[in-house]
Amino acid sequence: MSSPLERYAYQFKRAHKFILNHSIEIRVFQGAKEMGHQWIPFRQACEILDISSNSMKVVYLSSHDVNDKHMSEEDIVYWLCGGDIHFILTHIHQGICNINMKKLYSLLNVALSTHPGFPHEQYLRCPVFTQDKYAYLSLLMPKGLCNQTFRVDFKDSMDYDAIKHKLKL
Amino acid sequence: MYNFRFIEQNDEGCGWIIKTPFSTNSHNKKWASSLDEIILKIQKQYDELHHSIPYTMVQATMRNKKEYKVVLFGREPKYVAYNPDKNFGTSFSKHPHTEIMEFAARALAEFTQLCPFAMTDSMMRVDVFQTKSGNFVVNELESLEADHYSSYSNLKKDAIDNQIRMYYEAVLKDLIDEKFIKCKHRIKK
Repeated sequence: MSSPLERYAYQFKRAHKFILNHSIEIRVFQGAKEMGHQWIPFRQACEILDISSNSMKVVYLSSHDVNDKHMSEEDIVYWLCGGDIHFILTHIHQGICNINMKKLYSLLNVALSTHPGFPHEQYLRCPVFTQDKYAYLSLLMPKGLCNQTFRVDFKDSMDYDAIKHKLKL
Repeated sequence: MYNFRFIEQNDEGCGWIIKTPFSTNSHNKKWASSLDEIILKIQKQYDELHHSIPYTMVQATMRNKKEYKVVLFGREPKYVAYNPDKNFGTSFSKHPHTEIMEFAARALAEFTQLCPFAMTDSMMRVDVFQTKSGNFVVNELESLEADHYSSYSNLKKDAIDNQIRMYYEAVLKDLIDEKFIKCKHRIKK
């Protein structure tokens, strides 16, 4: 029979998914391989925190890897979820071939919003992060703070006469 | 509502740009001189891209191509970035660019207030054009992929990179603390 202290330790470890020799894996989507404006500052931050020590490791995925391995939207998102912590250092769709933006970002929102990482929760929907340009321009437009912008939605069936009419109304 | 008489009210006299969201560095950008040509270019973009993006956008091509790229950190304007390869048009601001920097900060503050899930606390860049009537307008907001070269020295860029590094350090510390530090105590301080 284990002691109350041992039982508590067991429960604590289970609750924290902590097992002996378990290392923290940080999965980072870096975009272009070892490039980009965030990559060097991020690497430096990891070095300062000694993240490459035995207890932690950083694993990178580049847009080149994604294209090479023909990874789908699901593959990218599940790869990020597979670590203990996710990190996204670029606009995730950039440099990736044959990707559906709507699908990618809705999967990210579903899978990563409660997964520890950066960004997470509602910040995954930030339109500057997703580069949903009309979403942020439309907030600035009413006060005349940005270029006036006309949005044309891509639908299964496009009515170009209606678009033309709206543009010159 | 804001598209009312779009062509008539927003014409800079230099044609129109049909540009896509989810893109950087002018990818997929097309130029048109007339309404008919705008429609043709939209059709072309639709044929090429409707499987990957949900919409496209039409904007007036600016008469003045000069664009100031204001670098901010923590929503505070720091300096105007400089790229000699993209230095077209007629200048409408001079060092220290106080007016442009104030405008960029105001636009970013407005966006942050209106968008509750905006991530604007690290490095941001606000790209500013001037319309033919003299108003400043935001062309684009950029964060993770923002070029932020300084016009005068590398010191300002280095200072921003240092702030980004400290920002990531804080984010990583929080995440690791939250998840594991209480039971592991392995992170060297």
